[in-house]
Amino acid sequence: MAQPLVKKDDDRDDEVDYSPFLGIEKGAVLQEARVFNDPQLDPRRCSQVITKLLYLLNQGETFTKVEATEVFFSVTKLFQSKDIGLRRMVYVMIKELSPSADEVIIVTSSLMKDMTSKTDMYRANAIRVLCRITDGTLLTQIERYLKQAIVDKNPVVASAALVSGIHLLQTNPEIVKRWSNEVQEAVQSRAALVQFHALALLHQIRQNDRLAVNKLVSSLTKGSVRSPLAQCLLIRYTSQVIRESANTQAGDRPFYDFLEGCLRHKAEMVIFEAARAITELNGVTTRELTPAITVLQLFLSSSKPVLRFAAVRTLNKVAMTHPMAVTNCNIDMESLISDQNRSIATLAITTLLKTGNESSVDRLMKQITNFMSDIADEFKIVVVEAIRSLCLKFPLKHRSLMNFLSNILREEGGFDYKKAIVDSIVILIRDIPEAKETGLLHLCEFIEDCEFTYLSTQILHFLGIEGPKTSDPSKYIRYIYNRVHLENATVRAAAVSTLAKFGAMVDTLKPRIFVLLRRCLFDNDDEVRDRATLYLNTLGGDGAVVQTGEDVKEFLFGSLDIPLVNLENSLKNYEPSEESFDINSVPREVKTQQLAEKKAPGKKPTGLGAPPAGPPSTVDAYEKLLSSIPEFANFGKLFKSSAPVELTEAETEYAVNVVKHIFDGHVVFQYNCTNTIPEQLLENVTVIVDASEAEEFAEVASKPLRSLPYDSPGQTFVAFEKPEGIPAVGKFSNMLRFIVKEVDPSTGEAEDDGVEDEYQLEELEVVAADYILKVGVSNFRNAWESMGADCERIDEYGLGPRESLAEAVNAVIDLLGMQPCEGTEVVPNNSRSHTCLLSGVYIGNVKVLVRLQFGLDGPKDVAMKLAVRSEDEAVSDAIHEIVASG
Amino acid sequence: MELCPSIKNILLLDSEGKRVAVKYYSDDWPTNSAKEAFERAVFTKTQKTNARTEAEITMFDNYIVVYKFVQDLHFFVTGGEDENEIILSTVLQGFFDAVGLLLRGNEDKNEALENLDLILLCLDEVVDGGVILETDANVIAGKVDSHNMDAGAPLSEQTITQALATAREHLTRSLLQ
Repeated sequence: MAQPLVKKDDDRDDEVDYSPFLGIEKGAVLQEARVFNDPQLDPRRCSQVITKLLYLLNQGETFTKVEATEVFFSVTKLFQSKDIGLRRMVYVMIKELSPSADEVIIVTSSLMKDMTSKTDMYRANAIRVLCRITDGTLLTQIERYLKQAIVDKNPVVASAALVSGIHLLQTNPEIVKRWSNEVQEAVQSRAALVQFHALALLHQIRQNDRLAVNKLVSSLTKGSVRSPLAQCLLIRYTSQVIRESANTQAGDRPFYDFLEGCLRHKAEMVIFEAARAITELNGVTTRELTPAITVLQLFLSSSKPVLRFAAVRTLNKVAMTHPMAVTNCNIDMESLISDQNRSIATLAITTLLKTGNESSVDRLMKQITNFMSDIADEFKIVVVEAIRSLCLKFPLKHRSLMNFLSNILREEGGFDYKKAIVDSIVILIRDIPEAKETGLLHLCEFIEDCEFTYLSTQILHFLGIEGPKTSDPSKYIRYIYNRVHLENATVRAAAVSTLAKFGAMVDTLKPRIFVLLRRCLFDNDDEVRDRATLYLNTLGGDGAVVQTGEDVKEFLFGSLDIPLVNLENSLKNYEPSEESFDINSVPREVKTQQLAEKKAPGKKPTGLGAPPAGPPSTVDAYEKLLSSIPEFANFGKLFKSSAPVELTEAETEYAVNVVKHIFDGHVVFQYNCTNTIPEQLLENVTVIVDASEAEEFAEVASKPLRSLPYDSPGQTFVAFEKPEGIPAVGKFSNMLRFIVKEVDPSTGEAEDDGVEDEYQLEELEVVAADYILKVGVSNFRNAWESMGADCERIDEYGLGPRESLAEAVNAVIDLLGMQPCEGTEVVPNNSRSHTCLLSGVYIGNVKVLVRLQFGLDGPKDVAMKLAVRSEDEAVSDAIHEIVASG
Repeated sequence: MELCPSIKNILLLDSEGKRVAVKYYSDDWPTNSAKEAFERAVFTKTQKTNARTEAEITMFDNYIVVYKFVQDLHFFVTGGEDENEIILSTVLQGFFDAVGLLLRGNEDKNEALENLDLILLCLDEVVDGGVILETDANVIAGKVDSHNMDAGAPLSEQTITQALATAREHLTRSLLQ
C-alpha cells in the first residue's frame, strides 16, 4: 500500500514545472471574483483574480452568458480603485469580455471620465477600450474627445486615437471621415508611430479618391516621413499609384526615383519594401530591376535568417518572369542550399532551377540529391515541380532529370509527393518523345511496389495508351500482369483493361494476351471477371487472330463524350424494363452550357448597390423570354446568348447592359436597364441603334419599355435581320431615349408632365466569338483524332509583342469564344511555350476543335500556330479568318 | 494586397507547445480548436530549429511565421503571406525584448506565468486589433510597467513607500509559492 504512495510523492517532487495556475478551476475563480464587490478593495488581490480570469480565457475556457455578465458587472466596480496597475487589468478584461450594448452603457461614463483624465496612460487606454466596445450612437458623443486626442501632445494618446480610428472606419466610416483635418495634422507629428498610424488612417479615409491619394503620395515622397513603418506604407501607396497610372503614361515611370531612393534608407524594412515594390512593378525593365536585385543580393548573405528568407523569396518570384536578372545572385544562392533554415534552402534551390543554364544542371542535381533526404514532403513537391519545368526547358537533359525523378520515386514519401513525381514523369513522357521509353519503365517499376491504389490505376491507364505505341510493347506485359496477381481488386480491374488495350493495338501480342485474360476469368472479384469477359468477347478471344476493328478500338480508347452529371441523372431516371438503357438518349450539352452561363454573371461588374438583376440568365430562361415576345417568335431556335456587356460606367445615372441573342438569321439585343435616380421615373424607354458600321444588319423590330421606375430593372429589345447562317460582324452605337418624369420622393408620385431626354451609351460590337458556343469535350485527343484531318487548316501567326504568354493565350481564347479543354488555358509560370486546346460549336451546329501552339519568339514577341479541325472546311477557314482579322 | 501591415496573431508557447499567452487578431481561426491546431502545427514545425540567437522564419499554409526562443519560452508572430517579413520580425523583436525587460532577464516559463499580468499587458501594447501599436521594446515595457517601472532600481533611490511596496510584493510572491 505504502509503496505507490511514496512513488506518487516522488513524482510530484520531480515536477520542477511548478505553475502558479496549477489546478486552477473556473468555478473557483468565479467565486474569487466576488472580492471585486468588497467595500474595501484590495488592488493587488483584485489584479491577481483578473489575471486568473484572463488566464482561463487565454487557455480557451469560455464563460457562459450569465457568467460573463456577472464578471463584467463586478469588474466595473473596480473603477473605484485608484490603483493604476489594477486599472490597466480592468481595461484588458473589459476588452476580452466584449460586453453587449446594454452592458456597455454601465462603463461608458467611467471610461469617458478616464478619457479626459490628466494621466496620459488613462486617456490612451480608455480611448482604445471605449472605441472597441462602442457603437455608432455613443461615438457621436465622444467624437469631440477623439478629435482632440488625435492631436494630443502625448504620442501614446494620439496613436491610441488613430488606431481606434482605423478600426472604426470599418463600422462608422462617415464619422471617422470627419476627422480628416486632425489626422492630416498628425501625419506631420514628430513621433514615429503617430506618423505611421496617421498615414494609415488618412490613406484609408481617402482610398476611394484616386486624386487625393495621388496628391498625398506626391507631397509625402518629397520627404517628411521619419518613421520606417510609415515609409513602408508610403512605398505601398506609391506602387499603387504607379500601378493605376501605368496605362495612361508612357516614358519614364513616375515615382520610380522615390522607390530607388528608398533602397538607400537606413532601415532594413524600408529597403526591402522598396526592393520588393520595384520587382513587382508592371512590365519592369532590367534597368529598373538592377538596383533592387543588388540590395536583395546583399541580404542573401546576411546573418539574419529573416533577411535571407525575405530576399530569396522575392528573388524566387523575380526568377519566374526575369530569370536573367537573377543569375548574378547564383553564387550566393548556391551557398544557401545548405542553409540551416530549410525554407530558405528550398527557395534557393527552386530559384536556381529557374535561372540555371543547361551546363549547370548536372552539378545542381548532385547538390539537390543530398538535400532531398532532409526536407519535408511539401518542400519536396516544390522541388519536383521546379525540376519538371527545368526538364521541359532543357529537353536534352531529360536523362539525368528523369533519373533523379525515378530515384526519389523509390524513396519514402506521402501520397501528394508521389503524385507530384508521377504527374511530372507523365508530363515529361508526353512532351519529350525521347524520354518516353525510360519514363514508362520507371513507372512500371514504381507500380511494382506502390501502396497507393489511385496512382497504380492512373499509371496502368496511362500505360495502356502509351505502351502499345512503343518499339517493344511486350516488355510491359509482365509488369501489368503482375498487378493481376498481387494487388487489390481496383488495381486488378485496371490492369485487365490495360492488357486488353495492348491486345487491341498489337496484333502479335494478341494470343498471349488472350491467355492472360482467360486466367482473369477466375478472379474472385466480379468487376475483374466482368471486364475480362467483356474484353475477350470484344477482341474476339475465341482463338482466331483477327485484325481488331475500328469499333473495338473506339470502344477501348474512345472517351465518354457525355457529361458525367448528365449520365448520372439519366441512369437515375432509368427504370428497368424490356427496353435497355440507350446512352444516346443522354443529353450532351445542356450542363456545360449552364456552367458557361453561370460564370458570366460573376464577371459582371456590380457597380450599383443592387446589381441589375435582369431575368435569370440561363439559356432556357432567355429562350422563354424571347419566344414570349410576338415580334421575335418566328426567329427560330436561339443559338447563343452572350454574357451581359456593360454599356455604362459604374455609378452613373442609368445602368445599362446588353445581352446579344444570336439566331440563325437574326440578332436580338436585350438591353437591361436600371434607373438609379430615386427622383425620376422613366417612361417609354427605347434604345436608338445606329447600325451604319454594321452593313449586313437591318433593323426589323424594336420593343420599348413602357416604364422604368427607380431601382427596378427592366428590358427593352431591338432586333436585326442578318444574312442567314453567316457570322456577320459589326459595330453598333446606342442612344438611350426616354421621357423623364420628376418623382416626389416623399409621396413617390410622379408628375404628369415629362421631358424627352437622351443618354449616350457605349458602343456595342457583334464579333465572331458570338457565333461560337462554348462546348467542351472530355478527351480532346480522342475527339481530335476522330475528327480527322480532312478539314484541317493550319497556319502560323505572329502576335507581336505581348505582356506575357498567358496574356496572349487568354486574348486568343477570348477572341474565339471557345471552351478551353483539359485545363490548357492555364499557362505555367515561366514557360516559354504553351499548347492550348479549345473546342466549340459553330453556328449551324458544326463542331470545331482548335489546337493552339504558342511560343515566345525573342523577349516579348509571341508566335502562334493555329490548327483547326471541324466537320466543314468553310468553318475551319472561318476560324482562321477570325484570328487573322482579330 | 493588404496596404496596412497587419499581424494575424502573437503566440507565446512553452517548450511543450502549451500556451503561456496567445492573442489572435484575425478571424482565420474562428474556434479554439482551430487556434490550438495552428499552434500545434507551428510548434512542431519550428521545434527542432535553433532560433535562439537570431529570429527564424518559416512559411506554411500561406502564413509567414517569425519566431524566437529563449529558455523554455517560444515566441511567434504570424502575418499573411504578402507581409513584409522584416516588419513582422521587428514586431517579434519588440515583443521579445519587452518581455525580457519586464521579466528582468529571467525569461522562463515560470517567471512568465508568475508575471502573466505583465505579459498580457505587453501583448495589449504591442498590437491593437492587428495594427502595430509600438515596436520599441523600451517604450512597450515602459507603458506596461509605468506604475512601478523603477521598482528594480537600487533601494536607496526609492522612496520609503515604494520600498515598502516592493518588500510587500516580494513577501507575497514567496508566500504564494
